[in-house]
Amino acid sequence: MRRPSIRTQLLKGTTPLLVLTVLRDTELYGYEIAQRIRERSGGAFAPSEGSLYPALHALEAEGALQADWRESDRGPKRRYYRLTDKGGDLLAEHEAEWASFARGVARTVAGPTDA
Amino acid sequence: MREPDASCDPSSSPDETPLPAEVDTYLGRLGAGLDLPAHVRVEIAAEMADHFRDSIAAIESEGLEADRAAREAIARLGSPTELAGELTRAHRTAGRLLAGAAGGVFHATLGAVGGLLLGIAIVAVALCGSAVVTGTLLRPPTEFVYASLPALRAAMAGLPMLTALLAWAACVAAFIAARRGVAVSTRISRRTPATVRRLWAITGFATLLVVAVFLVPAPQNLLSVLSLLAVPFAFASGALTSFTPRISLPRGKVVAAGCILAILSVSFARNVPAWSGPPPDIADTPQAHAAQLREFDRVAPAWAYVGGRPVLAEGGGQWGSGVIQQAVGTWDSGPWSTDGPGARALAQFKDIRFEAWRAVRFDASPDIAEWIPDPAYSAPYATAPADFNTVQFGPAHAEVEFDVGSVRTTEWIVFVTGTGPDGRRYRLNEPEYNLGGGALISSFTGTIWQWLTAGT
Repeated sequence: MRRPSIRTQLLKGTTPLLVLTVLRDTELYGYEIAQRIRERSGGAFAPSEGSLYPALHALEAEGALQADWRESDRGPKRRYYRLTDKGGDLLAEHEAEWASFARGVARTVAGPTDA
Repeated sequence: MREPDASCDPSSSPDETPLPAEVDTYLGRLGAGLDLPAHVRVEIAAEMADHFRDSIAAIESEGLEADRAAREAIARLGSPTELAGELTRAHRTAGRLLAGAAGGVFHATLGAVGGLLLGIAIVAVALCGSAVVTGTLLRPPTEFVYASLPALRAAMAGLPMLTALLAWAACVAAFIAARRGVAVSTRISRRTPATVRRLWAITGFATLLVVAVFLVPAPQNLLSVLSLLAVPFAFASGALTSFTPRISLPRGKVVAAGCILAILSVSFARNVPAWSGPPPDIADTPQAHAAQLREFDRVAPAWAYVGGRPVLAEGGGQWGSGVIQQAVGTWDSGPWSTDGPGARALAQFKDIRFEAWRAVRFDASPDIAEWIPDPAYSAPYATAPADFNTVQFGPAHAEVEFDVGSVRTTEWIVFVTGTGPDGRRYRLNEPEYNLGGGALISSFTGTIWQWLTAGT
């Protein structure tokens, strides 16, 4: 059995954080969100498209996102997502949690330091 | 989620390009796997179609051919079954379930209020309509039926009939409430209509059955019991059926029908003496009055009137749970005050008691029917000592039997009798509405359960 990579496992858990982050200051539709994440990561990663939409819909059900169908500047009607106030609070929580987690992982990976 | 309105329906976009056949197949499998209401499935399908257009275009721009680009785009989304499952779970939050339940109950309550008003209106129109028909067109046949089937006449009279009428209106209310509750719950909770319908039908049926059988005391007879039991069924049918009656009558026909109904109503009212003015006073028909009093004398002779009225004038009572709970002696003003002649006359009596006699209808005049003790019985159905405290009577209690389903034994007349100064028992009240109001006709009053178990 093929073992999933660390990146895959991390992406699965951090998809909500990444989605909320790219929607912090703008409204985007689903495919744009995936592209924006890919761009911000410098092409290093993007969430699985199969997990992106369930995450978007779950965040919407939670009240963190609001979705509206409307005309796109460059094409057909799209379902745009934007951050709600509750989503802003959730983003702040996720960011703090991620920062703490990332620091811990970094320290652990770096190994013990001399006092 | 804000639903797309007609102007924002993605399927109507002129910029859409047709999707490859394999993508259509993928979307079909995705839609089939979504266990969500139809409007949500439509939204998801539209959103995923948009995604495919973007994804395929991007992949094609990287140099792949259209067919391979479509397959690659499908591969990136993964299994449609798994995606459908993930999306379904994403929508089915506990919060939405609770909100759906709360919203459904709220709208069901609104629907029940509106439905009750509608039901009362329907029942009223039906009654007026039947009155018009039977009063003008079919009156001789119905009178024949009434004369032939006194039990039917008794079943249609009195408070149990009012219970039945309200139950019919409640059936309309329950049906509409269930429909509104299901619709709102489905929309908010994101559960499928079939699931919500079953849940509402089972929960509502059980709840209303318990309420109808155990918690609603009302005047009962067989007709009212069956009518009340129909309410849970009406709720369940409203929850389970998706049929929406659409009534679209031309306004002209409605107005014409209303005019005809009004004309017939006026005609009916003019032809029925009881409806064309104040009800004739039995006291104004001496022969009928005398005949009724003779029937009352079988109970006991009347004590001499005080000021032209019986000693006791008012009262009312109920039967329930196999117990007579009769409160008689609500004295009105004037000569019937506690220090008036009625009270002074009552002070002469001993062993004052209530007597419940089986009642049958008595045709006092062609349009007025009163109640008299059933000639088939020479003794009261039950008696109970009266607790008179110089002001009024307290409740009296007496165990009684009750024949379920028997129309005749659901109606009683309650008399008050007492032993006078000469040692004889006298009747102290006359259950005639025109002699002070408050004819002492009693119907069984209680819950359906009490009705079913009474006397067992």
